[in-house]
Amino acid sequence: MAEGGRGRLAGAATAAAAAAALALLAGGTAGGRAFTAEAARRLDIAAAPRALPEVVLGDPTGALVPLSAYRGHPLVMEFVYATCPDLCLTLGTAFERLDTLLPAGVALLSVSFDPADDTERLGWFADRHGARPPRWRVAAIADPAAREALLARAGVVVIPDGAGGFVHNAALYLVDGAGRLVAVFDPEDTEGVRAALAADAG
Amino acid sequence: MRARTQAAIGAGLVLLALLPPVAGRLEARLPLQVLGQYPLLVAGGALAGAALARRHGRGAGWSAAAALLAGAAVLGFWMIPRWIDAAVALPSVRTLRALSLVLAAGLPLGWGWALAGPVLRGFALANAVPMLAVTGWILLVVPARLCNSFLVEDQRLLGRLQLALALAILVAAVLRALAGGPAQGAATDRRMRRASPPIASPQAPRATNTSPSGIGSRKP
Amino acid sequence: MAEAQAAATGGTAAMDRGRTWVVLYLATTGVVILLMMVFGLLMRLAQSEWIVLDPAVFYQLLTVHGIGMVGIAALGGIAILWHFLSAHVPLRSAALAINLVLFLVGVVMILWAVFIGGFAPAWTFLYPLPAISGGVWEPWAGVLDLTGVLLIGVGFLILCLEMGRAIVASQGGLGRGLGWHVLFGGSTDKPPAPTVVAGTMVVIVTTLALVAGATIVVMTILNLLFPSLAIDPLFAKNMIYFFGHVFINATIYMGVAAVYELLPRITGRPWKASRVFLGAWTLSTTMVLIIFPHHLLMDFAMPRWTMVLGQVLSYVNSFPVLAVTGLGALAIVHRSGIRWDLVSTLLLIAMFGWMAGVIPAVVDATVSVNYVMHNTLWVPGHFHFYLLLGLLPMIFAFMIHLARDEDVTARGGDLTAILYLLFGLGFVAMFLMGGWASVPRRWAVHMPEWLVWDRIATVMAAGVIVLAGVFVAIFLARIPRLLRHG
Ligand code: HEM
Ligand SMILES: [Cu+2]
Repeated sequence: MAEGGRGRLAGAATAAAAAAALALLAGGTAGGRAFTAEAARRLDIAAAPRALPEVVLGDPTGALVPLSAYRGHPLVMEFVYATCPDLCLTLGTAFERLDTLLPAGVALLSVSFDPADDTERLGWFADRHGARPPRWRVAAIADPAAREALLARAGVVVIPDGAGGFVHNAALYLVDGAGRLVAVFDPEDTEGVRAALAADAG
Repeated sequence: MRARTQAAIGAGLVLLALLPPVAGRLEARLPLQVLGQYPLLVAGGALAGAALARRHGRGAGWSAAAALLAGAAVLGFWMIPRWIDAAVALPSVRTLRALSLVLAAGLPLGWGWALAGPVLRGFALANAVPMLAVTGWILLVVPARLCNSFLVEDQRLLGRLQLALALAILVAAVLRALAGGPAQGAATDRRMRRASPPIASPQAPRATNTSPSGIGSRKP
Repeated sequence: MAEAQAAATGGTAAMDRGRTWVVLYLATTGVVILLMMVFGLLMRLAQSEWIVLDPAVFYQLLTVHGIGMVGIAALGGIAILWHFLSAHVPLRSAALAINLVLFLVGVVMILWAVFIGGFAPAWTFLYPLPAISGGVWEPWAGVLDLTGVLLIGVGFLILCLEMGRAIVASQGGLGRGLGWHVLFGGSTDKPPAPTVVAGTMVVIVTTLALVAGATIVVMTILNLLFPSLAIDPLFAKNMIYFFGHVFINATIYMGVAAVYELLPRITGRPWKASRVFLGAWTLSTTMVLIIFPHHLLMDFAMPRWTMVLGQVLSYVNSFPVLAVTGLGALAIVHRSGIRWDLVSTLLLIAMFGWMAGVIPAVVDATVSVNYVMHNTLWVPGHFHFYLLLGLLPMIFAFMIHLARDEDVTARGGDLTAILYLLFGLGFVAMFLMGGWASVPRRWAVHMPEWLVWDRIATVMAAGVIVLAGVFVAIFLARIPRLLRHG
């Protein structure tokens, strides 16, 4: 009956391997909830809000504002580039909607990740969407290291699209009064942003 | 000696896949990474694993299914978009991936394949083909860009290539089975096969002693 | 090897050839066939307006009857093939055990999904039906049903791989199992036995069908869980169609081993695999293989001619085998002085049912006819013909053969077989006549002018069930003895 014993051994080993495989794949996808980096980052941020690093924001008027100046009130952010032909237009439209939807105390901030976006280009973007500081500021970060640090902290990934532009993950970012990134929403999900802010205020 | 040559070739493949200029090229595009670099690393580990099995695998047939399953899981893990992105973003993850594709995917796959009987091998292939096809199909039809670090065109291309690969594996396996040949037994069988009495069978023209290793079980 | 085999089944007998398992397979087959027939009768009773059945229940019965009959046809077919093939190539019956366990678990899941979850899109789970229930069932029921189907598929895959392994090991490749060395190589080696040829064909086509089936089932499950993963409906249909068609066809190729083995024993004349015989089996196998990649590539481009070719090929691929088997059987029986009894008559009916059952299929495959007949009762008419009167008689004959301790001396009983044929013909004829009159298939409620056919069919079905009950009872009664011997 040595055969039977080996059969059992094989069965036990296979079952153990199956359990390990399941654990690995479940662990690697947050129990099936995060197959993509996008989903993983949202889960992670919701579970553990991230303090954003300090950066200096330059807007089309030439004003320089530190990010920390926004402390004390909720802030909604998005990351864009001024010459984007598609995704960032959607993001801009989403912010236009938020501009009418959100209470006065909430600020909007469109941050460019394109080093080539100067005050003129930022102006294009602001004018197209009717963005006016202080309610809605369109800004760039001059210091490359600070810019990279902020993008990395927020989980923004930007890659060249091979045609002179960029491909990037698009989202709406909710930052609380303490300067912590607390939630990430789909670009279309302005209602989700509004509801989250209302729940927070209530 | 053959085992050593095999292990050396395996090491060569791994080195090739990790050589900075080559690695840079392969990692730049999604399809090249998954269908170029991964296979090189896995094959490198697998050659060593098969060599190991040939030397030390005697009586270890029970581990074949478990090894194949574990190796497949590790390989599958690195096909999850989240971890593909993580490897692009973090060099430490990239290193871990290279190590685990060789040692935790390739090695057990080679070991398990060498020890597996034909039934287990067929079962593994019959699972791999639909898996490859279904994941390829997902890459093709999912509306979203799954990897932050790669263009959606790359994702679609990988999907199509996976479908083609699945079909190719299927055709190759069928042709192999039609032709018979070496696929009929575990690599170690030839050595480990004992002269068991040919089965008494009235019509069987050439009843030979068959490989006893099937679903992971073998005769001592 | 013998020890290994005995050990694998936990038995002590040398060379049991999986006998115990074969008996268990047949017992399961017999019981499930009767149950599914009763479900079929209920459907016919409802269509006849003799009983009132909630249409939701009708579709649940339709789903279970379809998948249940297809699954059980394969289980019974495998029992036959295994029994006879294991005399030619050494098989390890552990695979039979694994398959039976997976099969039963899968059946429980399917029944749960259908009768508790309300899942009822018919057994072909054609996309996007499983996902669009109009609120009749929830996605979990679909996932449960399809997971059950998947488990059953895995079981049959293991069986096919074990048979494939044994054939490759003993013959030197599946090509030699099909007799290619004789057919093409002009080898003077003995050709493989007919049963080995049939087994090889079954291994090849069923494995491919299962791989295609597993792919589309997993895709459908994923689509149920993540609706944004849309399936190309045309692709889905082709995959399901290939899987279902090949799988159900393969059951006949399994069962035909009973003809190849029993008729020679009964008549005392050997059935040799001639070159024509080998050529026919290879032709049938190739036709299946040709349509396979063609089905896979369909979603990229599907010109009209491929559709027509696929349709026709998938119907006629059994032709060559059918022809050599029918002629071979006739040649063996002709002037053999055979004394007809239950077993031999059932086998003869099986040959008739198989051949005659293909004719309606060919009619249907003729494109111009297809416009009128497709999705009418003509289609169930065609497949009930070759399953009820082709495959089932093979299974019953094998049951009786085992119940008679594999003794082939004629012992009468042929009258019951003939009655089965008559009732079966009557039942099937009503389907065909309904189809001729364009009665749609899969309608829970029928129009008043169709009731005549429905009611005749109901009576005939009752007769079929009684006679099938007799065959199954004969076998079940012998089981204690068979198991003691096995
Ligand atoms: C007494 C025997 C049987 C009876 C009374 C019966 C009855 C029926 C009925 C009423 C239908 C539905 C037809 C329609 O309106 O579309 C049906 C469908 C079907 N039957 Fe049977 N049947 C019997 C035997 C069998 C056998 C032996 C098999 C296979 C081995 C089988 C396989 C099927 C299949 C696959 C369907 C198609 C289900 C679908 O449309 O999804 N039946 N049967
Ligand atoms: Cu953009």
